[in-house]
Amino acid sequence: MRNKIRNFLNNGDLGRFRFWLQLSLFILFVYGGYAAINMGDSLPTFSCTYVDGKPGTCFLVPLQHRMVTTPEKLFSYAGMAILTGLFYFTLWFLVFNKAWCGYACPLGAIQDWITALRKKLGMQYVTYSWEQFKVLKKIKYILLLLLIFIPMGIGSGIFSYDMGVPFCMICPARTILPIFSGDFSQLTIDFSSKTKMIMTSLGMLITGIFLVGAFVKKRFFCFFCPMSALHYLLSKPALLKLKKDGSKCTKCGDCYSVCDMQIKEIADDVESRNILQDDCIMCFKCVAACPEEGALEVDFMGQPVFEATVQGYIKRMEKANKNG
Amino acid sequence: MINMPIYRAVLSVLFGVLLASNLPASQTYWLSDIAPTREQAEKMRSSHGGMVIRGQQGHSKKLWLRKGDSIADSTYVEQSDLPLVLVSPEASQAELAFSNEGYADITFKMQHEGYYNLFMIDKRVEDGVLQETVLKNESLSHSCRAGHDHVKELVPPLYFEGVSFDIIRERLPRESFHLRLGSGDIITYKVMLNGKPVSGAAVTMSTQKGWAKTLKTDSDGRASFEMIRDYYPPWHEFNKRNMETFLIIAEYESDESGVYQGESYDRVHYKATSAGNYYPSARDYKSYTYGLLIGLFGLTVSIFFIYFHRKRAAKLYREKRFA
Repeated sequence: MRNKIRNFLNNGDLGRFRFWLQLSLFILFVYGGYAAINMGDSLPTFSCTYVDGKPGTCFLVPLQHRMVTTPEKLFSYAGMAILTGLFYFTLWFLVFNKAWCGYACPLGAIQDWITALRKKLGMQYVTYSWEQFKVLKKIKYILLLLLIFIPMGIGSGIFSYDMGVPFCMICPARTILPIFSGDFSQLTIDFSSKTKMIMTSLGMLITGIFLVGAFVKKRFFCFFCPMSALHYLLSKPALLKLKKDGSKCTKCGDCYSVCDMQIKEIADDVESRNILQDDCIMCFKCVAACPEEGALEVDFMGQPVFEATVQGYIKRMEKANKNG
Repeated sequence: MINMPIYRAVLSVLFGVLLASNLPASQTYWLSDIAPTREQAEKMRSSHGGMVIRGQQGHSKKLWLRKGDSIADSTYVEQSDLPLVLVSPEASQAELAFSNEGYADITFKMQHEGYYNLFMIDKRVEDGVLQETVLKNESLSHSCRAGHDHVKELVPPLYFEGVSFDIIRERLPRESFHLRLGSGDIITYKVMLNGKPVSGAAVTMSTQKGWAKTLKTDSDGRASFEMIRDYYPPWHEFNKRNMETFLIIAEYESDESGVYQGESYDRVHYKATSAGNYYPSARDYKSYTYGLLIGLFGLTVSIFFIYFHRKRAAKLYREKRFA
C-alpha cells in the first residue's frame, strides 16, 4: 500500500498538480476574505493587504508598519508586537518552507501564467549570465534591509511618514493583485506630497517593467523579492526539505535546465545533502526532471513525499513529447 | 462651583451660558475633539478616527463640550456637571464627569480596539415640553500594532439601549479602521427612537466653513449627505491630512404626554448631536492618467531594452581583419 502511494506520487504529473494548486491558492489569497476566511496578518506569502477580499495579510506589511517607531519603543513593548508577528510568520513558514513561493504566492502564480502565455506565443525567454545572476541575487537582501531600516528612520524622524510601507509602494503585488477584485485604485500616482509622488511613480514604473520582465524571464520578480530573502534566513529548520544524493547525480544538467530561477548548484553541488538555495522557490521541477533514481527528493519531516525515479521521469517525458 | 474663580461665577450669573448644568433647548451643544487652545492642540496627535493623546498603554481621547448653532460661531463651555456615559467596544459602561479645569472636558483611555461611544443625556421640562437632548461622540481606537485580522467584526456601529434618541452613522461599504471620510463620500445617518428608526426627523449637517443642509429622514430613518468639497489650496500647500469638522444635529418632536420629575408635559422634543471629521477626497490628489502613463513608459522602455539586447546578442561575431 505504502509503495503504491509512493509510486503514485513519484509518477505523478507535477506540472498539472502545481497548476491546479496554484490556481486554488490564488483564489484563496485573492477572494478568501469574501468567504469570511481569516488567516491573520503574518502570512509568508503575498496575500496583499491592498486586496479587498484578502483572507490574511502578507507579513511584510505589519513588519514595516511596526518598525515605524522610536528605538526606545522598539526595544520595549513595540518590540514584543514585532516578535509576536515573527513568531506566527515562522510557524506558518516552517511547515511549507519556500514552497510558499512555488505553490502559494499569487504574484508567483501570475508570473507562471505570463510564462505560459509566452510559451503559447512561441517566444524565447532570456536568462542571466552568471555575473548578472551573482549581482541580481543580492538585491532582495538589500530590499529586506531597506524595508526594515526605512520604517525605523520614519520612527526616528529621518524620513517622512509618507514613506509609510516603502516596499509595498514598489511591490507589483500592490498594483496588480487588487485588479483581480475590480479595484484599479492602486494604478494611480499620489500627488499629495513629493515623497508619495516619487514612491507611487516608482511603483507604477516597476509594474510596467514587471509585466515585460515576467514575459521574457521566468519568475522575474522572485530574484528581487525580500520575502524570499526572509524565507531563506529561516529555512534551515523547516519541515519540508529538498535533498540531494550527490553519489547518484551524473551532472546531466536536466535539473538546471528546468529551473526557473537558474540555480546552478542544483546540478553542480554533489556534496550538500540539503540543496535548498536562497533563490529556490521549491517548485520541485528539478525533482520531476531528474532521471536518476533517488538523486533528488522532497522530504516532509524526514519522510520522502516525492523523489526522482526512472519510471516517473520516463512517464513525464513521454507525456511532454506527446504534448509537443 | 466651590473651586470656581470669582470672575467665572460672576460671568455665569450674568450670562448663564458658560456654565452648563443643563442644556437649554434653544442652544446646540456637542462634544468635539478639537482643542480650544494652541497649547492643548499641541498635545494632541492625529490618529485613526481623529485626534488623540498618545500613550504607551494605548491612546486617550479628550473631548470638549462646545456650544453654538454652527461650528464657526461656537464657544467652548467652561463648566458642566452633567454626567456622561462611556460605552466601550466591548459594550461595558462607565459613568464619567467633566474635569472642569478651565473647560468642560473629558479624557478617557481607549484600551480596547474599536469604537468608544460617549453619551451625555439631558432631560427636563421647559414650557410644557419635555426636552430630551443627547450629545454623542463616536471615537475610534486603533493601533496597527494590534494587527488587522480582528477589525472587520469591530467596524459596525454599536447600539446602546440606554439612549432613547440616537443618531448612528452607517458604515461605508469600504469602511475599515483606516478609512478617512472625504469630500464626495455619501455619509448616511440613521435616527433611532427607542430602538426603532424614525421617519420625518430633521437632520442638519453643517461644516466648519459654514455650509449647512437639512434633510428629513426617510421611512428607514435614514438621511444621506454628500460631503462637500471646500478645500482649495495651491498645489504646493495641499495637505491630504487637512482635517475639517462637521456637525450633525437631529431633531424630532412627538405628541407624547406625561410627567417628568413632577412637571407635566404634552410634547417631547428630541435633539441629538454628533460631530465628525472629513478630509480631502483622494480624487483630488490621485491621478490614473499619470499612473498609467508611467506604467506604460516602464513597459515600453523594457520592451526596447529587451529588443536591442536580443538584437545585439544575435549579431554574428565580426572577424577582425589585419591588413
